[in-house]
Amino acid sequence: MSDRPRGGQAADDRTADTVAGAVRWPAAGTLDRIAFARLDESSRDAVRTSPVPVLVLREPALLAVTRVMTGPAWYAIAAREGGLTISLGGTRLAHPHPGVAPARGRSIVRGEPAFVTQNEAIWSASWLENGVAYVLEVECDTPSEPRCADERTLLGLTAALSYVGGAGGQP
Amino acid sequence: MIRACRAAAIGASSLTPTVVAALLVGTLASHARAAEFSYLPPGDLIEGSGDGRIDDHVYAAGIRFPMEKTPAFANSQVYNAGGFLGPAGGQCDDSNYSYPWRDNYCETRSWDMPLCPAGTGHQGQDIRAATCEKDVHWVVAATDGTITSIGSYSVYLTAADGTRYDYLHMGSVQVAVGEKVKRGQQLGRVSNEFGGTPTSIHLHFNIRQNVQGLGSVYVPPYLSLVAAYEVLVDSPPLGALEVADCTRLRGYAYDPDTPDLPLEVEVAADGEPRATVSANEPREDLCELVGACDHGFEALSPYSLFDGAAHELRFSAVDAESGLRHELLESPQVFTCESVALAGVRRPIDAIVENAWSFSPFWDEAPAGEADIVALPFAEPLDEAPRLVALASDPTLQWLLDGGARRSVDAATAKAWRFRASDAQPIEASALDAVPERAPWPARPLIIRRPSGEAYLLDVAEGIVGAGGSGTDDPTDRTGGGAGCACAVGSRGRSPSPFGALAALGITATLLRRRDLRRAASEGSPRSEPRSG
Ligand SMILES: [Zn+2]
Repeated sequence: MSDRPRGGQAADDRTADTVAGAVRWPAAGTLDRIAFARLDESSRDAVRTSPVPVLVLREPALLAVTRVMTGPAWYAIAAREGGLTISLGGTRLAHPHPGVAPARGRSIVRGEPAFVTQNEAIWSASWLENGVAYVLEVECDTPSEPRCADERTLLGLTAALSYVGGAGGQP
Repeated sequence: MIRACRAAAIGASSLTPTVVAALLVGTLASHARAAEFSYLPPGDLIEGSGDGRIDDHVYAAGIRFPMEKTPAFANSQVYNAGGFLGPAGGQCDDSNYSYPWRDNYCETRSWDMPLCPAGTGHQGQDIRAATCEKDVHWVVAATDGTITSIGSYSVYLTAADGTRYDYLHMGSVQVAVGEKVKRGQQLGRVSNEFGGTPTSIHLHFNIRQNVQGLGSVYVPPYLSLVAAYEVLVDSPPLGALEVADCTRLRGYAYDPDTPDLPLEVEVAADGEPRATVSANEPREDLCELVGACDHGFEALSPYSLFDGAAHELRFSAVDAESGLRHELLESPQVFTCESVALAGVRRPIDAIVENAWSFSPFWDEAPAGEADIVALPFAEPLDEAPRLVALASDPTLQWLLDGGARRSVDAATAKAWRFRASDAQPIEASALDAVPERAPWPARPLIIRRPSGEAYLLDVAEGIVGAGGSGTDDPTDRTGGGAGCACAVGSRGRSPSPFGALAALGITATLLRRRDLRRAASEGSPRSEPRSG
C-alpha cells in the first residue's frame, strides 16, 4: 500500500472512442401527440431535432415544467415540480471500455432489463430501448421524505413515459 | 507568474540563466505544495470500507479537474475523521486535508453498482477542497457541455459525447438548466448541501456513461480525476531562447516537475511549427540553477530562412505531462539572414538519399535562384547513405567514406550532419591508411533545389574525385554523360572500391541496416530534427 508516484499510469490516455448505435425509431402510431402539444415551444423544437427518440414524463403537471435539451447524439429532460427534481435522457453513443464485462440489470423498466440504484438518495433507472441508453432519475428536495425512501416513486415515473418524437420520427 | 516573468525580461539586453532563475523562484515556490501530490492506486479503499474496483482504465480522459484551484483532496467522507464510520476527529482534521489521495468509488453502500466487485457501492469520488470552509472554493466544469439538470443538491453537466458529470452538495450555484458552459467555468462552490440535512463539506463527483454492453452506469472517476489533477499541479516548462543569429540558435529548457528528463522544444517560423530540438545538451551553468545540467540546446541556424527577409522565430517547450506548449523567455525573436552565397560543386541527391541522410527542408535547404544553381559545377552524386568510420584505437577520429576517399569529420560536423557516434564503424589504422584522404567533410549540409524539384548537396570540389564539371550539363541525365560528369554515369556512389579491407569488415551490411533504422526514425517524425550527438 505504498504511495504511487506522480506521473503514473493515469497520464496514459486509453479511453476508446465512442460507438454510435443504430437508432430504431418507434412506429408513428405510438406517438403521444397530446403530450407533445403540452410541451413549451422551445422543447417542441428540441424534440423535432433530437437525434434519438424522445421519451417524456406524460403527467401534465410535469410536462408543464419540462425542458427538453439536445446534444449531438443525446437528448435530456429536466423537470422540477412538487419537491422532486426529475432528470431523463437518452444517448446513442456508447463507450466501449475493454475490461468491463457486459451485464443486464435485475429490474425491468418498459419491458427491458434495467439497473435501478440510488446515488446519495437520488434514485435512478437505466435501460436500453430503441438502440438508445435511457436513464431516469428522481431527486427529492428533502432526501429523507417518503418518496425517496424506496424505488416506488422512480418506478412509477418509468411506467408513465410517452414517446413524443425526434428527428427520425416527426410527430 | 510566467507572464510576469516575461514582462520583467523584456528590455534586458541579455537574459542569463541567473536572471531567469531569480525571476522564477516565486513560480517554483507556488508549486511546492501541489508538487507533493501523491495518490494510492485505484481500488485501494480504506481497510474495512468495502471492495474497490482495481481498474487502471481512464474512463473520461482529458477532463479538467472539477475544482478551480489546488490543492484538493480526494478521500472518503464516511470512513475518515469526522465520518460516520471514521476514526476520532472532526471533518476538518488535517488528515482529511493531506495527500495521498484515496479512491472511494465502490465504498460500501447498499446501492446497486454493476461495476463494483460487490455489485453495490458508492457511485463516485468524494473530494475536499483546499480548506475545510463551505462556499469558498469554486467548482468548475470538467468539460464543455450543457447543464441538463439542477436539483436541490445536484447539478448535471452533459458533454457532447453524452458523458454526464454529476456535481453534488454544491452551494452558490451559478448556472441554470439549459445553459451551455465551457470547460473550467465556475458552476458553484464546494459546500455541504444535502436537502436540508448537511453532509460534510465536499464535492461528490460522478461520471455517468453509456458503457457498451451495460447501458448508462456510473463509471470509476478516480483515475480520470488523478490525470486531471496532475495537469493542474503541473509546473510549466521553463527556459529561454538566448541566441538566434545567422550562425546558431541557442537556449535551454527544462520542466521543474521532471528536472532529470530532457525536454523537446518546438521551433515555429512565421507561425508554423517547423521542427523540434531536444534540450538535452550538458551545460555547466545550468547544473546549479536547474539541479541538472543536461538542458541546453543548440542548433545551426535554419538555412530555409536565409532569404534576406525578416522571419519570426518562436521557441516553445512541450510539457511532457500536459502536452501543452510554453513559450520560452526571449521568444519570439526576429530572424533576418542574407541569402547563402553558393560556392563549390553540386552533387545530385534524390528522395531516397535525402531520407537516408536525414536532410531537413527546414534546417538544410537554402533558397537559391535557378541561375545560381545551374551556374555551379556538378559532381558525383551523394552516396545512398552515409558511410562513417572511426579509428578503432580512438573513436573520436572519424571519417566519412566518399567515392574513393576518406574525409575527416570532427565532432561539430558530426552533430550538424546528425551522425551519431554509434553510426561509425570501427576501422584499424592499417586499413584506413590504404584510403586516400581528401578535403574535410563540409561543416553542415546545404541543400539547394531547382524549381523542377531536382535537389543537390553543395560540396567542395577538393573533396571529390573527378569533380568540377561545367554547370551546363544536367547531372541527372544519365544517358549522355556530360564532360564533367563521368563520375555520375552509372554510379550511385559505390565507386569501384579500394576498400577490400572495409568490405571484409562487413561495413556494407551494417550500413544498410542502419539506413533502415534511420528511415524508420524519419518516418516516425515527419519534420526533421537535429539530433544531439
Ligand atoms: Zn460521495
